[in-house]
Amino acid sequence: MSGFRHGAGRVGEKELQFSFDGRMLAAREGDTIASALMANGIEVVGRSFKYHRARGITSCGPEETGALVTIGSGACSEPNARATMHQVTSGMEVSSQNCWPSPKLDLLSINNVVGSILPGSPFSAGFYYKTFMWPAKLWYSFYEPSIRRAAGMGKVPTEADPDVYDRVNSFTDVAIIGGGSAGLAAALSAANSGLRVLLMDEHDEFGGQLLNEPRNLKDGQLEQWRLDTIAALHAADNVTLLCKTVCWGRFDGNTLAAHEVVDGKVRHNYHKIQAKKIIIATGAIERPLVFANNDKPGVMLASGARKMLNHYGVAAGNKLVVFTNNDSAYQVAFDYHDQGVQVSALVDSRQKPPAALLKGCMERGIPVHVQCVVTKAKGWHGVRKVAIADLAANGQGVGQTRIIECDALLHSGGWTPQVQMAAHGGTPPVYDNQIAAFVVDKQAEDTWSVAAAEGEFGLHEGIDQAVMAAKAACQELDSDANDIVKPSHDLIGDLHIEPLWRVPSKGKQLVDIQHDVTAADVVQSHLEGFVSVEHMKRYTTLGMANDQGRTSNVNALAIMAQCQGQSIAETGTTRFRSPIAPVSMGGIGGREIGAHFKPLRRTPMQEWHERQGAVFVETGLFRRAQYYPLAGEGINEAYVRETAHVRSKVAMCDVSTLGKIEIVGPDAAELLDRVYINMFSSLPVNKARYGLMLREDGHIFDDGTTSRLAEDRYFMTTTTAKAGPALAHLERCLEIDWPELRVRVSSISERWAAMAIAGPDARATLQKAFADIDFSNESFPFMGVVHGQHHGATLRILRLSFSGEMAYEVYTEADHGEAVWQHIMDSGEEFDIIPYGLEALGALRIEKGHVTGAELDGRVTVGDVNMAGMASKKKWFIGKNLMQREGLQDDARPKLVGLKAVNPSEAIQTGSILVTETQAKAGVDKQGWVSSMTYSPELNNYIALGFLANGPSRHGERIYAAYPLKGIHVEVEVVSNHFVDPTNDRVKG
Amino acid sequence: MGNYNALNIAWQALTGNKNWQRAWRDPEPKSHYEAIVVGGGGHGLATAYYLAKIHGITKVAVLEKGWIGGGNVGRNTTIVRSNYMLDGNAPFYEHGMDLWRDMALDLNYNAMFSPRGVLNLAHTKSQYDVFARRGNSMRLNGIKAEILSRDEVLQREPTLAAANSERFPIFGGLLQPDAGNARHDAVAWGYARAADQLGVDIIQNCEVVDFIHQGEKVVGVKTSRGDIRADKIGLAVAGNSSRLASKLGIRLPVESHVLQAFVTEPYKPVINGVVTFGAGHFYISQSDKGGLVFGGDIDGYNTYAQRGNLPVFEDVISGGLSIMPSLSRLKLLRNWGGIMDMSMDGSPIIDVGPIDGLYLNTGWCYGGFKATPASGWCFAHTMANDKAHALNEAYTLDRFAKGYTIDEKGAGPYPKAH
Amino acid sequence: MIRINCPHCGEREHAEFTYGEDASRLLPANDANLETWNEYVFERDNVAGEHLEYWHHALGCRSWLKVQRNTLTHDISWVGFPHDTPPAQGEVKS
Repeated sequence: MSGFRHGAGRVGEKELQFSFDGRMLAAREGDTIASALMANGIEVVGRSFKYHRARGITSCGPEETGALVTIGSGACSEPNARATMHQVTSGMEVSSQNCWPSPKLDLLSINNVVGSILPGSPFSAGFYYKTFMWPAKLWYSFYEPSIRRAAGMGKVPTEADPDVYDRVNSFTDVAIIGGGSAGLAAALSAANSGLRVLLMDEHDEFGGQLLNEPRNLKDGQLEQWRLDTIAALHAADNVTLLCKTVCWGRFDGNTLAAHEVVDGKVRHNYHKIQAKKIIIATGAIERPLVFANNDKPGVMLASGARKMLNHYGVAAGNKLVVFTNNDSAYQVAFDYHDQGVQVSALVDSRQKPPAALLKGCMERGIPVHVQCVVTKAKGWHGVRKVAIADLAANGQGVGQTRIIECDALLHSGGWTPQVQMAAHGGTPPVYDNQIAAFVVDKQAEDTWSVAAAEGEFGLHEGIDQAVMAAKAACQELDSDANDIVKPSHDLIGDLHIEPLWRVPSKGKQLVDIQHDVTAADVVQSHLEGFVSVEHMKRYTTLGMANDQGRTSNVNALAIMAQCQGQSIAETGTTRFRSPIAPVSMGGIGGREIGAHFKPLRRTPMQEWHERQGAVFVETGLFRRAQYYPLAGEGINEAYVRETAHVRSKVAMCDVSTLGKIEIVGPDAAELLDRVYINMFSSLPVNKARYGLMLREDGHIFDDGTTSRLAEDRYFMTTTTAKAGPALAHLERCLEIDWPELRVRVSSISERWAAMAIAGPDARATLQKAFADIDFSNESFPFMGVVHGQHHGATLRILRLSFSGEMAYEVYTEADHGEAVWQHIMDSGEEFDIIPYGLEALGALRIEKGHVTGAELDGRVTVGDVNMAGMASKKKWFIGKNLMQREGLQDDARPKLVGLKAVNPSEAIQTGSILVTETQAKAGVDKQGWVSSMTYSPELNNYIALGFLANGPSRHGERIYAAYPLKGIHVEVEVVSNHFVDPTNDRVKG
Repeated sequence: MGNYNALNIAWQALTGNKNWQRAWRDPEPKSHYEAIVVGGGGHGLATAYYLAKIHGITKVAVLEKGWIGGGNVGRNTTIVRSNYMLDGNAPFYEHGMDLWRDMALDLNYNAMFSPRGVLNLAHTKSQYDVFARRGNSMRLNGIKAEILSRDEVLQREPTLAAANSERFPIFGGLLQPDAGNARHDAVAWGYARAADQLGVDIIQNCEVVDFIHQGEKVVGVKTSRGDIRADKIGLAVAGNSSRLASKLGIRLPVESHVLQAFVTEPYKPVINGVVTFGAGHFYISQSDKGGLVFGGDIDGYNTYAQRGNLPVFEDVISGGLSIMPSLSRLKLLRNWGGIMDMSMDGSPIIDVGPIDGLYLNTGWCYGGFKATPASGWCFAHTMANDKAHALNEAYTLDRFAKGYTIDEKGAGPYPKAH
Repeated sequence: MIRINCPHCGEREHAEFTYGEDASRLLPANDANLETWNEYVFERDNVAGEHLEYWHHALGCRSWLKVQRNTLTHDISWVGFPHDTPPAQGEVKS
């Protein structure tokens, strides 16, 4: 027991219950988990990362590195929550982390025992790298898995997060980061300009360090100023106030990213803020002092203890020792004393603390030990006494130690301006001797750092800076910010700090409390030659804990600088990385996860397929009907039936997913001649032609059918996957390469539904459906295009065949898609029409030997697919030059072939490698691969398409399709890729 | 300097860890070396090590403009794999796997190689088929590969079971069981220490500002610490290759792009190996410290700034939570960016020339970390013999002109697409 | 976010755009030799500094734009259409 409820603070009187490790505890509304735990006298909250040392509450804010807890359980649990940053709610379950069986009795603390009895720890910096190497087998089977098991802090939920998160985009004129006195003042001043002002602060309440002050200080003047300012900002409708909102990163173009804890209908909001001007008023945080056992529960930052007392009404202990190297901790001692808590000693490492402070102590009867240091905190779980000693004048040694009893040790090693956001603007911080900390010297464009964030700790001076910044920011936006009324009471900001980077005494002196990085680790990394700060950080893992080095960096840099015999300024600092505070992944994901990550696209006939009971398959952003099973059918039965049906009767397939591009203008033909390898200028009106496009490097880009609707108008189709890239490619060609061409291209993919009607009865079906159109071979031959109408729907019908049967593609406006589809289904009833899915479409095109994306994988040439003859010799086209490169003309390249299983019922697996050996072993000659396969009902045989070295000259040869992943080795015969109707009699019939 | 071992650690602990020696020396640059490797990253340090160890070339300097290991070797997602399909790549990376497995004992430095498997998720049958082709090729190249069913995937990575299978159903996956992760910084430090012990001079804060020519040959470099001459000069400066090559009038088939990476706070083990999402740009693993390390696509515009922007940030996390929605309440700790030499076919260049005395090592895209040992090994061979080893003979600079590109993705000459 | 001032749409964040490529390269003549085409397609200056490049306003007006952007800072000093020329160095707002 050390902490206890003491006074009212600012939190309410209302009590509520929560639990810690299963034990019910009382809290007050407004308490954080940390203040509530402390009020209940709980000292040990968890264990540290490496040595499993006991951890208590070390602060009262975002810099907390000791008290990390898990909130809640199951799908709604949050591991690694900073106890200081979460308000207790009624019934909240809080659990300790990284300890077993309990935080007080933790078995892995053996690491600590071993590390403590020796003069140095064997687990010091870099120890993993130096051991566990021999024998090698044990590393893989034992050491590494053991290290891994011991890793980590909290446990990850196993179920999907049921909560909802939002992304919020906002635009503001002046964004102010940090809502302490300076941020509030800047906001109020800027608010008067009428510009849009956004103020954010990561705490539950605005006020920053003002909340550390007693509420009734100077008759409550300060508190009243705070409340009045907040009220005025709330009243101004051009001001947005976001509390519980941490601004965690700055990106290009004055974009700020912030994370707001809402805990309402949505759990968190992720704000992406476009700010014209940015004022950084992020304040400063207190630094710990580095002495032995400075991580022991009960050792706490002085300012944190002060906020506990004055804001939450919780005293850190009954008997306190305060240890400092600057002025700020005196007020903590005074507050505790004045509120009736015993302060047993004030230990000040400086030679000459200001007389006024010494007088304050004397008046209160607080014993002051000048030029004296705490060498060690003692106690089992929590601090029970401290050893203090005089500090040698040169700071290098200490005298005899004396023991002082206490149950809490409050320390202050000075203040570190929170420069992360300023540094994100691009300028590295520089060291300021006056305050013994880093500040940002040169501000980024559109940015002002003010008050404590810039090293100015006085209240009035900070407010003055903030108002000046607000005025300057508004002025640059042609508006005027006002002066504001300052609080009548000032708080002095002089620290008179005399740095004490490390108490010169023995014992485990923690620099990074959460990661158990000690001062000795920093020294050792120096000895081993890790002389840059980045090396030290990486070698020791310092600053990689959840506080991102907020509390540890400056101390570590100073110790390093001492080792190197150079100044801290010369040593420099590491680069700050976003997010500057840990933020939930859910927040950033927002609602754009799962089904909303890549929303599905639907064809105009989607609902028809759903009603029909189709089974769907993902293809890019579409989910297409794969097959339409009859009762009891699986995929194989269904697609074979549908395929056979196409070849014997008639069936219809939804091909709306094809890319469709309209190309219009006097130079449309010229454009197509340049982008396709074959001629399109010679294509007659109302005729369609298959075309191949290459990339500039001579490989195939895409294929499709393009028809000429008028002299100056073409209708291009692309593959589903290349619909977007093909359009962008055409636009690029027209705007960048050939602006002289008078052509416009536009995507009409969404505007047109498309359906393929294939089979011997396709003509009869369509003739019945659209009696006005003459479907006879004479007036509507293969590759012809006709136009028509059906009940107000425009019809564009192309006679093409992907399946190898007589077939037509009917295009109509998307709105009419389903009606036209249904009409064709109705008309085809007497011919026994059925719908067919993607699987049968695939089977049909493989039988016919047509290529798709499975073959055109971005690495193949026209020669590879036996279509080199299509490339026009009469004209230039994209890719014509580089397709001549020797590697693309190499005869040894695998080329498209058909493959037929020697045993008709043995499936040739897609993804097989073609080999000649009867067994597939490592090192065999890989001669090609299988790109797609199907069972062919036409041939009653498994068949496939693939690429084979010298393939076209090897027809008739028997080789093997090897699938060693599953031990499958299928004998196949190399054949032409045109299995069905090689002479095109059916399609032309 | 002594060997690192448990006894040594115990002795150091007994004497208060006060007798540790520098892991590598801090020598002044000499005026001449047999070979200079420009770039003290993983590849450069490994090259120097193998030059000394295998080829007996010990008068070697590694010139680093900042601190060794400060580039991409220290800012990646630590994945080690050889799951490549194309013959130009597969044997090279598999040789690297052998070097990874033996690295700790070879270097007397434990880079914590952890072969916990790399799993590529397939969400459709067609994706599964593409993986099958790769997996079968791997097998026939002597690389371990397994193709997994949906159930096998979920058994391996139970975290995936919480996914909304409606939108991105898991069809199966391709697993390289002996791929995994390593501790990235330690790779650089381990090679540095081992190279140093063989006599290599590692010279930090030494920026190469220009080259010294003698006729048609490059014979040295001008640096911020003076002129240094050498018989052979190798460039291994990912992120700066074009800048340095331009001083020799060479235009490379390379663009510089930023790749962002992310790490969460440390959590108890939850992800067993490396998992890649097949329907979005997202890959993830968990470090030995417990942090979930993940990344996605490059930002997609030329840049030399080691920081990215929010669109990719959002896309990576949205993709990740789509496949692993139970990670939603975890907190992101840090994000960073590294500059990639994105080549025109997604594959690297390890080659002699094109100027006498010069050797090139570039174009690693975002796969450079795993290649560290193999790249160093092959580059050392190439520098020592003025000729590529069979393992890197496909990685020529003139393969673009000749049409022998090695395009695993089939994305074409668009660096941002690889 | 990189903010690109599209001449048609106004200032928009770069997520609306697709990065094109280096805009300083000159399209070779149709009958140019292989070496010229190879240089055009595969080789890049890859400058560290002021870079001329194309961006496609894919989620906006679908114009291809020419942009002068610093690859070290991401600051944009000029936006125009593909056949515009940026003002000479001295005239560009840095």
